[in-house]
Amino acid sequence: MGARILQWVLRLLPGEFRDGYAREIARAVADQSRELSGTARRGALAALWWATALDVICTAPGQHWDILRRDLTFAWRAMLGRPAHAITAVVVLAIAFAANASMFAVADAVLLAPLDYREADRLVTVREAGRGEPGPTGYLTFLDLETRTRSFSALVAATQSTATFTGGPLDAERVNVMRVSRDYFDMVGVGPELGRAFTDAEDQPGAARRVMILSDALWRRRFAADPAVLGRVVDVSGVPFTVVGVMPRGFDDLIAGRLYGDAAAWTPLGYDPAASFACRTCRHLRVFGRLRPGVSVAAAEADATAVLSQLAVEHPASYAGPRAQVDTLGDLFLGPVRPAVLVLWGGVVVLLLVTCVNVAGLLLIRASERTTEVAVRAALGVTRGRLIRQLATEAGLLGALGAVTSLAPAWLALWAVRLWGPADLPRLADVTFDARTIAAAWLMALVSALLFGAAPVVLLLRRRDSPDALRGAGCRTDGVRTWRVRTALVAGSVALAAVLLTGTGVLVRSVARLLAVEAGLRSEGVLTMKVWAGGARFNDGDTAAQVAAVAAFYDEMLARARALPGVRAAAAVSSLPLSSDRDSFGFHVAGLLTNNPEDAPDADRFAVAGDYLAALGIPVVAGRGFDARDGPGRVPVALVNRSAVTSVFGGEDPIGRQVMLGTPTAVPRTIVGVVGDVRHRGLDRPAGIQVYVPQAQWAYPDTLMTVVVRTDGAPLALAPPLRAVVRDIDATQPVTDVRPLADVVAATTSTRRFVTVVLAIFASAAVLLAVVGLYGVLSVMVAQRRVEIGIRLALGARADAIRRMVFLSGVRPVLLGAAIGVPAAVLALGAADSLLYGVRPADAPSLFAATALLIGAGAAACVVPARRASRIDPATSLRAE
Amino acid sequence: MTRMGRFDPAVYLPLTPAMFQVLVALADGEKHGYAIIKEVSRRTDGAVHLRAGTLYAVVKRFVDDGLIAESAERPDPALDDERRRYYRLTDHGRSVARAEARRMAETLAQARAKLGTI
Repeated sequence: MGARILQWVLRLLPGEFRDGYAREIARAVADQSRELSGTARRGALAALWWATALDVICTAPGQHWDILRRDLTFAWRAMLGRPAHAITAVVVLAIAFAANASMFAVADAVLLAPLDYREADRLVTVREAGRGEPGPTGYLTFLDLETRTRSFSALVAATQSTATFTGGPLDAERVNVMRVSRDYFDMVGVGPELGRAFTDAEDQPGAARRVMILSDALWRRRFAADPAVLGRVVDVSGVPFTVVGVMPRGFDDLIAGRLYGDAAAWTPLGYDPAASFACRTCRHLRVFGRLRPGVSVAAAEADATAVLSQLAVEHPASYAGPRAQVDTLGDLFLGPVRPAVLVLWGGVVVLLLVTCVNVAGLLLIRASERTTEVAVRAALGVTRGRLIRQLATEAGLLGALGAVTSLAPAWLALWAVRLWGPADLPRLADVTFDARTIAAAWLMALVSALLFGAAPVVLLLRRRDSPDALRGAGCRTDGVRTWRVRTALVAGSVALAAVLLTGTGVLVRSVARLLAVEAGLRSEGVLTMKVWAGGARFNDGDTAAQVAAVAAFYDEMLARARALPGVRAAAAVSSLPLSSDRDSFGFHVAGLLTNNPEDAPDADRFAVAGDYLAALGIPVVAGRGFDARDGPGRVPVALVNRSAVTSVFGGEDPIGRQVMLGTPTAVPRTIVGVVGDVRHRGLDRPAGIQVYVPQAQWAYPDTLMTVVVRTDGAPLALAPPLRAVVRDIDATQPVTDVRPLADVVAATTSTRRFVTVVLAIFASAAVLLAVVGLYGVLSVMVAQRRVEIGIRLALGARADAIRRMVFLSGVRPVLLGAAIGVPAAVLALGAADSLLYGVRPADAPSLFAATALLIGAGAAACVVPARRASRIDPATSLRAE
Repeated sequence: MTRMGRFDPAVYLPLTPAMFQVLVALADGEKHGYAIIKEVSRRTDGAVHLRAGTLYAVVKRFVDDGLIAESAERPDPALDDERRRYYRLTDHGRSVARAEARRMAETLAQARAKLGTI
């Protein structure tokens, strides 16, 4: 037993040591054991074996380190012997490692890191999906889901609100607020750091609900991190709210951040089920839930769907084809960006492979020059294992130097990503250069070293016993098999470059198509800013009085804005096109009413004030726009877009027809004009039905409007005078989100543009590597076949035949690589279909362009070596031989 | 280790106790591994007990550095296992052992000067 253990332990020693001394060690122990005697021999023998085994275990690392030190010294000297080779390989590897490590850091922060909630994988969103796209739900529906479903340990509803903080030394500040039902903090699994969560009583209509929990950032900014803020009554838009809690520092509430405009405070929902806005068809609440342990998403979806189906039976006029869609929060937030991140990740992996293939080619050239050295060492008794170990150390050293060099560019790349990365990429701010990034770079170095180190090892070990190698012939010419390996490597790197180049081509065409889409508005020269009308003076009197007060506020502001120099049109709108703001209503047409009102299509509603169509350059296609005739108390009017005419009115003139928004019993509005479609929901999505109403004629006050001003000059130059106008009218009304409309439009394509630009950089690098690799291989081939070419020329071969021979031997692997890489790219793009717009993965122009570019670049790389070969002087080359 | 072509034993100093004992054990003639272990144990009254792994790690290093060499001569096969490998001290090895002994003696003298008789 002891002997067996020792034999096994001896394997931990390096082969070199083992071959020389393992038998000696075993013999020495056997000698010692023979001398043991007496009754305690058995125990002493076991102690001897164990002590020796332990001693060998302790000795082994030192022996390995000894060999590694020697191999590293040898490898370092070998690299210093050919510094150009080494520097090229290290720089190329460093770039690939940096790209991979930084991409890993992005994917790690954006996709892989768990959401900042307790057991985040059990958090879901529940959406009604019966009417097409899944969307929010009405309060009464939420109450029924909460009581009738069995799959959730907590179910909450949330909506957005805003609060204006005034007082103190700071300017008035508007912050977004989440109104949430009482279980919100139980649901997310994170409670306030200071104070408490909401009570049941506070989630009721009335004054009791006027409590607030602050985010840590707001507490520090607005209240100087004063713990005495608890219990303090703060004036929020003229309404007193009592602060009852402060959330922990670093609590990153993605729900608040991504869905509620970085909400910085929470208040109870406090809905009255009898309120008009609490109805089943008043679908404006998002529902979130925590799954009970062991309940799957599919089971929860079936449970919620069953409840909705039952509700449809009980309230047939409120549901159409009810279905619930349950998604994890991870899928909700990260699902849309996953393809973009994965495409980029795939891109860097391909780049790494191209790099490895090229470094392998480089090492192969170097290995050809070392066959004699390796053969001599083999002849001197150096074992195969020992040779592999030394060659692996050389590859490892190259990888390690690449990894160390990659850290600085990786840090820079991450800095650039944080600075210029697309704003709609969640958790971009969490992207950091940390220990995990460094570990990723080192892991990549290890894997890469195995990849690029393998080819030269195989070549050298095959050659080590060759008599030619010992004579020194091996250093001058390589065999057919070696050339095949090199050609295969070139073809491989071209194929990989083709994948990236083709992918980039298709994405470029996709983005170009997207950018060419008519948004339906003219964004240049337009400034946008959100202006809120909040406070006691807008809450006085009945709803009609509030509507009038709010409308008067905006009208005055727009009148003053129009008087500013350079302003050509000024208007305000409830939902800015291509922003995330949406306001959907059922679109009911008199004479075309459906049996179930829920079967009516949805329309995006825009309440507008001022000359909105002129400000945004939306054309009037038929009829007229709004004017002074459409004020409060006049006949309610509406404008519809072209898509509404096509999809609802069958292309017939709708002017004079009446529409009701929300319910069939709502106020009928006469259509007075048809306007062009605006791609409100995104350039890549159809406009859908759009309806415009005068703000002053809407039944409820629209207190948050986006002001849009068209100017002759630079839009941002208008920001200060416009802020001054608002301050002059009411200094308590904050102005936020000041940005040119062109930026708003550009932001909708930012992820696609970012992916395309980064992939284009990767593709350029990959093509460059492939071309340089091809050039290197051909140059070596010409150098090694100098004598043979000289003989051919001496025997009468024509120079152009030699040129063609070399040229074709270079172009062949390029054609092979392109033939493999381009179809592979089409397959890969199939998985990233959601990033494409208006083009298919097999987009013929992109495929043709990528193939042509690759073949052109490859052919260009062959020209110089081919010409050099054709100019070889036979006499000189033969003399050299 | 040679510097400017001349062997300098100081490069190897200080030796570990195991290394020193191996050199000393071979000072009076060539020995095989187990004999070295026994000799060290006997001479130090069991205070230093070399394990086989440690011994051969030292042996390998000394052979690589030329301080000891594998002996080509074998004893009478009737007296010993002919497969055993015997090691002998080289001149360089002897210089290193002496240099280490001197170093230890100087250290001991310095300690005595400071601490008195010990």
